[in-house]
Amino acid sequence: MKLFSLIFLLVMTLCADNVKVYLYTPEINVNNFKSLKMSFDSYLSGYGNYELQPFSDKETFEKYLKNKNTIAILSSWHYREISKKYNLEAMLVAKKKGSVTDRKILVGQKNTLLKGVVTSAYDTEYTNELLNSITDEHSQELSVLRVPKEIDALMSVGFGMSRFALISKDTFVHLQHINPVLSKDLKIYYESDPEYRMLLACNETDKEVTTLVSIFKNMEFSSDGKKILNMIGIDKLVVFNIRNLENRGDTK
Amino acid sequence: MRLLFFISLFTLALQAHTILVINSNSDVKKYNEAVEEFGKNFNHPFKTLDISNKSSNEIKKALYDEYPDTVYAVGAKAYQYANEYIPEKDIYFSSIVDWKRLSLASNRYGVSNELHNGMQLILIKSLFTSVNTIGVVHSKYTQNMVDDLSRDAGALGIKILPILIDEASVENMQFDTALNNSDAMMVISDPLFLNNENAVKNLFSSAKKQKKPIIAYHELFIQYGATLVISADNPTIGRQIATMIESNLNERSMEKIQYPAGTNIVFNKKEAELNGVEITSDILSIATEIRE
Repeated sequence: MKLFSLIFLLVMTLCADNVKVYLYTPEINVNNFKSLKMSFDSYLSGYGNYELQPFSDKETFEKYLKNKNTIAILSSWHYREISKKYNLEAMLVAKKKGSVTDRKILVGQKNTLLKGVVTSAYDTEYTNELLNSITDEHSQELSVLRVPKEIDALMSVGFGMSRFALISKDTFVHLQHINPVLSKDLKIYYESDPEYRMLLACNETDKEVTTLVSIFKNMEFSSDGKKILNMIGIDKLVVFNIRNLENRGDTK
Repeated sequence: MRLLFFISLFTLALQAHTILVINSNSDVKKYNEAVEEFGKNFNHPFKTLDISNKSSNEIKKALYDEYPDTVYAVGAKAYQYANEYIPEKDIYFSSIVDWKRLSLASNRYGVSNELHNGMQLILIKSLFTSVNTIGVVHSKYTQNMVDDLSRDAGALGIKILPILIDEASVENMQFDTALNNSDAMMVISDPLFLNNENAVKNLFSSAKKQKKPIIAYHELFIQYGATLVISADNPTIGRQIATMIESNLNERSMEKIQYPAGTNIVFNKKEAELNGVEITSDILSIATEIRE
């Protein structure tokens, strides 16, 4: 009887579906998904049957959001676009260097006309939308070259492969620190309003979701969790509440 | 109405412009990655020709039959044939080692196979907090490369320590003193050094003993124990060529020969831990691949 119970338990464990956290954000280096998934899965498996399912394209990601009990990590730009359609509610927001918001900037060599190639690490749709919005639709003469990382986008301007780079202000400040010689000839031409960093959202709050949200919230307190958060370029995930809305301009 | 007519004429003119992509060998991964991304990002029709199993005469015939306005040659073999049989055409190239040895006419454009030194050095500076002096093994064949590297490194506050080898010294070269005076070693594509397996193994085993990281330019060196590999991202090269051709068709100015705009970074976590080398947390978001 004991053996039967053990076998039954084992079968149940094997058959149990893992709860998946879906991730898509145009701001993460997609090439790194293999390492990211392995690290996340190893971390989450310590707390239960959870796993990360990252996506490199928006359409496939959205197909999975149709399921119930969805937990997703996505950019605030994307959240704004689809939250009503998929009934998503933001639970956590990413924080880096003390701020839950970030700005995107268009950087170029000094005295450059607004035309030519823009390097960007974001997907093309997001890049075009950002360019139109921050340049007041004066970006018709710009063509986009997608590169793997924000630092590539910025270095491309410095070494003559592009005229402009569309990057986060964080990356620019970082390069100014590492290489003042390269960045001293660069100028910020346009700057977006502050936008929330990535969000963790769900469409139904049950016990399982609450547990998972709490696991993500506590990641910053373990060294493994911290490393994984660094992989997606953030320091921690904090509760998203109305105060975040009030502080939206905190990095201005 | 007149404007519509001109727009239609302009569109027709663009469509009439024929483009041929010549792939030196479709079995080579890096060529295919560039060709595939070129196709996804180029907004005009084009044809592709794989010349890996074709004779010279077949290639010549194919080029004369197609007689494209613009060629994208992927790899040295593709470039040589295009340059020989249809030199009057605009030829774009990529994935050619040391393009500077090619004699280039004014209607040649391309993306080099090698990254700009500055890009590699900025990445090294971003990732290794304690690397201030980098040793570089080289011979007379790569003296220019090392001179350029030293100049670019100086601007970033990094010192390059050149370790000169020649035909007589390469076989039994000892790297201990150089490693003592460096925080890391950088392997460059020096033909004399790379053709001597003993010298390569010697460098890697001495570096391991002294717990100094080795930074290389090709993933092959991971198996020898390189801690970091920084190379050009091949898909980005394909997209870059697509952007260059589009810019030219739209008469927008651009650099005719460019460095690759994207980087591919492989981080050997196991080796870094063995060396005890200090790496910033940026590695996790910058690395293309982390080898556990």
